[in-house]
Amino acid sequence: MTRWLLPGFLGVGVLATLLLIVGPALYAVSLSFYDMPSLTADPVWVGFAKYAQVLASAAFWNALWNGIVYAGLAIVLQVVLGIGFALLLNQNFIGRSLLRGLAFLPYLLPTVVAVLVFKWMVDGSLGIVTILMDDWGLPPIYWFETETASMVSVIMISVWLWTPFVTTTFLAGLQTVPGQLYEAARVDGAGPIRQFFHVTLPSLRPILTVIILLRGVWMFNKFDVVWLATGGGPLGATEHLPVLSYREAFALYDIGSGAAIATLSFFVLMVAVAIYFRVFPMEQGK
Amino acid sequence: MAEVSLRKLRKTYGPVVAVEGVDLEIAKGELIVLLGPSGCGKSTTLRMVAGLETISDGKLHIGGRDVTALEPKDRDIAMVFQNYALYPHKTIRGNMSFGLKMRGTDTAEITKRVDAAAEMLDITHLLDRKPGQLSGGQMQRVALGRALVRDPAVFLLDEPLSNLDAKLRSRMREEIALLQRRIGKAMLYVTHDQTEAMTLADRIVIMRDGRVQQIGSPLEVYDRPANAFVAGFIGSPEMNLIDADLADGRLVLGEGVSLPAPSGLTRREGRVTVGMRPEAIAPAGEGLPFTIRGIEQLGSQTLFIGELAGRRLRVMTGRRDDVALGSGMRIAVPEAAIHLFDRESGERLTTGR
Ligand SMILES: Nc1ncnc2c1ncn2[C@@H]1O[C@H](COP(=O)(O)OP(=O)(O)OP(=O)(O)O)[C@@H](O)[C@H]1O
Ligand SMILES: [Mg+2]
Repeated sequence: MTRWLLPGFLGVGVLATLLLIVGPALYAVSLSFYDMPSLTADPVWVGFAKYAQVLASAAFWNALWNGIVYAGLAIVLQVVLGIGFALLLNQNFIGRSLLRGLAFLPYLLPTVVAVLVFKWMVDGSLGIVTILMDDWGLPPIYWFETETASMVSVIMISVWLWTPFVTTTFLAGLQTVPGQLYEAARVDGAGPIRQFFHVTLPSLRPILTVIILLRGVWMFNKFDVVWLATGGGPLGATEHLPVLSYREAFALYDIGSGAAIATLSFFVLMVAVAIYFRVFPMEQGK
Repeated sequence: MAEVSLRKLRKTYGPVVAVEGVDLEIAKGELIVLLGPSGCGKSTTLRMVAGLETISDGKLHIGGRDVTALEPKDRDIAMVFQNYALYPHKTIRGNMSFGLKMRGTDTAEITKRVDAAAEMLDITHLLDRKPGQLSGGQMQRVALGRALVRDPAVFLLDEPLSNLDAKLRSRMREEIALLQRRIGKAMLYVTHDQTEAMTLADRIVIMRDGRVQQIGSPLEVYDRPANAFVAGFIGSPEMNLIDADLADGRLVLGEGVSLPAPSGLTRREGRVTVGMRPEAIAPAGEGLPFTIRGIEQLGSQTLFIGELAGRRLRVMTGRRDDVALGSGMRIAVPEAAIHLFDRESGERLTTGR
């Protein structure tokens, strides 16, 4: 009986993975080789024509660039802010546990809610941000109307939503650094800043490597924030690969192009991750 | 003048008094061991000297300066931690250089000092490794080396050998003693191991419940323990401590069992505790009746555990393998080997040796 238990469970796992992940992924990739005006239409084999078409379009390169800008800036800000908050929350002060709990809250918000709240806050006539800026005599910002501002907006929403993830992970990591290392550093004459760079950061380097990788992949594939906040606009200023792929497939009914974009996006990411592992190896060599 | 001087040092954590009124002067080149049971405040005292723990009350002077309120780095101290506390991502050289780097020492000087310290500790071949690639004993040397390169006025060590196995511990103990003689700096060394204290110390400070019980050279505290606690803590095997009544110049241990009281007593009668070191009691042709309940063979010596007047007593003799369990024996206790303590306060009652 038990002899078959382990292979049995394993088999179920493998089957589920094949059925639910590998299968659909392969199907999606296969779609990119067909011309297919709708999901119900009969597919026509076109080989790599869709890829050629996509790679020749300005929209693709624009979306790729936007994705890099969006993911890159969002990660840098999340990590820097997240570490900052983690260090603050690691200090001893009254109400620390309460604040630690609160700090995690944004992460629990559904993206829709976060985006809507942000939109209300910056609403042209009623938004609290708009009113406050007006009170302080600052010129109005058209958050979703100009190209730079709308990119800033989607980045801000993303940073707000996912900084808590970095904070919480980093905070948990901070608890694992032996206190004696800080004492040794104090005796050696290192102040708080040097303690951070010589004790904290090196100790948490493995955690940080994983955080940046995970957040990077998630941000690059993140669809909902951009779609809900700007829909990729104005004039494609915030359109990145996931949105472009969706638009091609479901708004312009070119399933093949949509699938080709998704596949290309996957390869771009794979190359990026491979380079990342080269530059920041998970295991410290030697 | 004393290199380090602790004056009425006190540490409280809220209502908890961890250390109370510690007075101690450490001379240059002197190795002082803080000794006591777990929780007696040894580490707290050491950490107050290091500056890792704020001083609740009292004064601390190092090298003639009042350093009571200074940061650790400004106190001219170096510390060796129990778990070594080496920076795991830095090489051994990086670990040893760090303190000097933080002080802005120039690179050539750092290299010179690290090389010299590594040479002294025989760790030159390890300089390019990381701490994770070292054994416990090697890490201990590196931790010592890190303190050494700083050339401070005083070295502080908190149970530095407690993570090593028995053999390595005694070897490192010898090395630390040699090293200390060689560099001639003041050293404050915390341990709960009385053997370590006896073998290393110029003077031992015995603590209990945050208070100093006695300060003296190893032989002083062995020969003339200030109270019953010190008597029981110093020496291995432990001193026998037996309740007795002092009357008419005799110590009555039990029904018909008594000893002549030693001379030079500060008191003529009362309830006392008699202290006798196992190694000071000897089998004799005639003497007190002792029934043997247990025998521990230590090789060159034999430890008998038995009863004297219904009380547990330990007697250590030269090697004996001719005595059976349950048999009787006569023992004699020389007058000079009797320590007498007040039963209530535990204070020593004999004045002479
Ligand atoms: N942060 C703290 N808060 C409250 N009490 C403390 C604190 N740190 C230490 N103590 C108390 O102070 C006393 C002395 O502690 P300390 O660490 O100096 O003991 P120790 O002699 O070094 O013992 P050990 O041999 O176990 O290391 C203990 O009773 C301990 O409970
Ligand atoms: Mg301790």
